[in-house]
Amino acid sequence: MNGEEFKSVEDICKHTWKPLYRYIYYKVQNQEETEDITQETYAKSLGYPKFKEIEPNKCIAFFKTVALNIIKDRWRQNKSRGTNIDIASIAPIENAVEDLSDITNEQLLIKSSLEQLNEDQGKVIELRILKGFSVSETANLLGKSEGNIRVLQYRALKNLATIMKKGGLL
Amino acid sequence: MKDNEKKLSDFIDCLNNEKKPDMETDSEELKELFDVARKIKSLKEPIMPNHDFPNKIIQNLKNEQVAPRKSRKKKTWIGALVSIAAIILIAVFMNFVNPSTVHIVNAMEKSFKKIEAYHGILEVKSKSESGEDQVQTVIDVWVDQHDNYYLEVLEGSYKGLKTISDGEKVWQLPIDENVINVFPIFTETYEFIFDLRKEIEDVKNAKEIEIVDEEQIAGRDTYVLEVTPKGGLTYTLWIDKETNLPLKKESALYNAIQYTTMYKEISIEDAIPERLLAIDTSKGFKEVDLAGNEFVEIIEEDVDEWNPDFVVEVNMEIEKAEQIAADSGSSPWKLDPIYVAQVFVSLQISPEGIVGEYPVQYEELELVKNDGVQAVIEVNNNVTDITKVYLEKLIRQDETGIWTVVGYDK
Repeated sequence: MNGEEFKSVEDICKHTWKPLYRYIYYKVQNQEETEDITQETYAKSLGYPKFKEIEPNKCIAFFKTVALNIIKDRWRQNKSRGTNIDIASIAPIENAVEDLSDITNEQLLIKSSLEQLNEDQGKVIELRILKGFSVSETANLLGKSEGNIRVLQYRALKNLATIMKKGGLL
Repeated sequence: MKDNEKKLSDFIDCLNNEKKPDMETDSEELKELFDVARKIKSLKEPIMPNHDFPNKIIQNLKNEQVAPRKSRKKKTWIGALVSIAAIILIAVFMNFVNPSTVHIVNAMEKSFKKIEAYHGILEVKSKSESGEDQVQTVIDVWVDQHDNYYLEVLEGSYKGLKTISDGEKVWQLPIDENVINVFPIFTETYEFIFDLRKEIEDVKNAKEIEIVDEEQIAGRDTYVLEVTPKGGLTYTLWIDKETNLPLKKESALYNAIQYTTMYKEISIEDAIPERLLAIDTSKGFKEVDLAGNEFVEIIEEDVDEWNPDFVVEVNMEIEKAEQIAADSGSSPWKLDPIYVAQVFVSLQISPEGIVGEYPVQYEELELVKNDGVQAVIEVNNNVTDITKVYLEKLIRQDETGIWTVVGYDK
């Protein structure tokens, strides 16, 4: 790769990494995996022979589609032996590009699902996931045993799964 | 079942620690619950990577090109080799944008010392995640080296509000009686934002500074710095190449809002005009006890040595998150040691939570020591057997640092 080509790759990365990272993070919800998948997305996308044919304003959509496929593949394989995306099969661009209004609507639905939990379950989910407290901290804050917290959070998420399915979130 | 409960709990812990979770399970139900947990967490803002992440991506892509394919096994993107490569890349870039960050920080300090006073029109804008800009306020700012300042809000919800300080006392000419002594939504009434001296100090004390670009703003050539404070989110600062003074600051996106503070105009002056610093109480100027002043009050009294009977365990990750929240304007009470102690003692009395009034009143707590980093509060209340609360600024040891309870006496 000569200097001129590398400069353009640099430009692409610098202009697209933030929305791509946020998109992946929204899906996987942890920094470690997001960084890993972001890197892999660029490696696979830029190595795609027809990448140069993609219009610049569609690059981010293409990256998101590739990222989504990497995520799906990882979750399907559920092993640490890497991914095996057939890049050719994912073009044309899938509907991977959720806009902000989609995300906002989804978040409203998630919030409304949370409101349907009973007080104990709602509190456990708030402390454990939204505030990030550990099981022992949550147990101390709520005056319950750690085992009780694990049971409560399991039941809460099960209830949420049912609610979310009804609301079309799952 | 118990095994699944533990696996789900571990999964949540991984997400909370921003680590890749172990998702290996045959249980379809558990996979579904993982998905639900992720959806709930998506209500929070994403944790963004370090500022050098894009450089790492680029460097890895470059390495990809030169590395023989068969030598690549599992892709470990952020390894030691990559770190070294990224450091080299940054070093090369920093040489290119000469002068170095150290030089810039020194130059900023030197330049500022030469200034007697400055006058600027400061604009504060907020930007939502969708990219929608909104001007929050425009302030006429006069500041001198003797800590005098004159601020007049030209636009925004506090339009017309004038704040004058002689370095010790602060007076305000309110636009409405109710404006004074309430905790405002925005900071212009209780804190002078974008004070150049403070900005330079912040850069000097930052954990990490990097020159990331050069840009022209308002017709001025600037260096673009990424500044990572100790215990805070990375922000961007634009430094005028000619005057070496900060012109613009952009906060990190937090709670879906990003603030940009910028001097639309700035000029170096000999002094603040006297007429602006004249306090005329007949016109309605009142001395005000701004909350921020109270927070930094230094009290040194004879108190027992720092030796709490009971030590309170602190989760530093939570404290970091609290500091970030306070930096973006949330939970300003965390900057007040008395208020933090009040919440702590109240929760000891009512561990299930506080409903209605606090069982311990603010007035029943007395600040007996505050050296700016450590504070001791005496509790004068019969409902609790706690007699003293010990607090420390664990994340950042300046006036913007939050207080944390680290111990108490009974």
